[in-house]
Amino acid sequence: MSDPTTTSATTLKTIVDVGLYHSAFDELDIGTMLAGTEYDTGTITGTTSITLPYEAAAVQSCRVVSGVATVGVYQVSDSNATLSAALGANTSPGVCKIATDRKTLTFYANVTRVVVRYLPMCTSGKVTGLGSLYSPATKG
Amino acid sequence: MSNTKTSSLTIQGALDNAVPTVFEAALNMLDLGTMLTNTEYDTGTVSASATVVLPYEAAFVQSARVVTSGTAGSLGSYVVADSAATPVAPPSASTQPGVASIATDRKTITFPNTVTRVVVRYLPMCANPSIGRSVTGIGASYVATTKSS
Repeated sequence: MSDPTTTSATTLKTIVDVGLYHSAFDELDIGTMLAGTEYDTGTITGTTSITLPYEAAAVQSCRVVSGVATVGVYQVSDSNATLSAALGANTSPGVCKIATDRKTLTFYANVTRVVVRYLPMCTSGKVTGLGSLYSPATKG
Repeated sequence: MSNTKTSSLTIQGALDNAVPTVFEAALNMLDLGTMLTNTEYDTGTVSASATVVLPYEAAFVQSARVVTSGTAGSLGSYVVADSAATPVAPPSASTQPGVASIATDRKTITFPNTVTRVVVRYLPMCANPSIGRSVTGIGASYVATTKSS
């Protein structure tokens, strides 16, 4: 028998905040989150924005491997940051920004491959992010 | 008397599944409190090397700062990027950041020049291997302690 679910109006963030840890952490995939990951876009069509596969709890670094944008490492700043190029290829870091959706990174010029090191949330696909509705499994 | 048994689960897997019977022990092995406290690790004066090894796996590295080096121009703060990044010194000492890389072992940081003292600010995992346990990182096997008569 499959486990039916009920959907609560409470978000995962609230559930974690109030301490209903087991099922909320299950949806958060906290082990994989805390292990961190390196995400490589592979070669993509030129764009100024890329979307991470999962929401980021924190972004450590971002590196442009190819594109019109200067190749090298970029600091990932807040959603209103002013974008800038690296000083030169693989020299001092440039600045890119992450949107309030915690997934969209924007660069000052087109990129065609990027590697991002970050802490990903909700990687199993059971929910779409920390703001998802909490859905505890119940036995039917 | 207590015995231990090793599960096929890793700590990472135990946390992902959040199985009530193993979750708290997995968090205990991770030393979540120490991890979230954030740490500044100071190597002190070390032999000149282009790499430093953190005492514990890093979930996240905020910054690395070269305090002393045989190359005067390489002093200053560094962004710690992914394992394939090209290490780069700052344009000049203590100006814009340079770039260092961290290996996939989550512990080894590589700089563009040899360094003799570095301070790293990071989130350490499994940072308190006390009370007789030996946990090497989040990929280590989950080890359950069981009571036996």
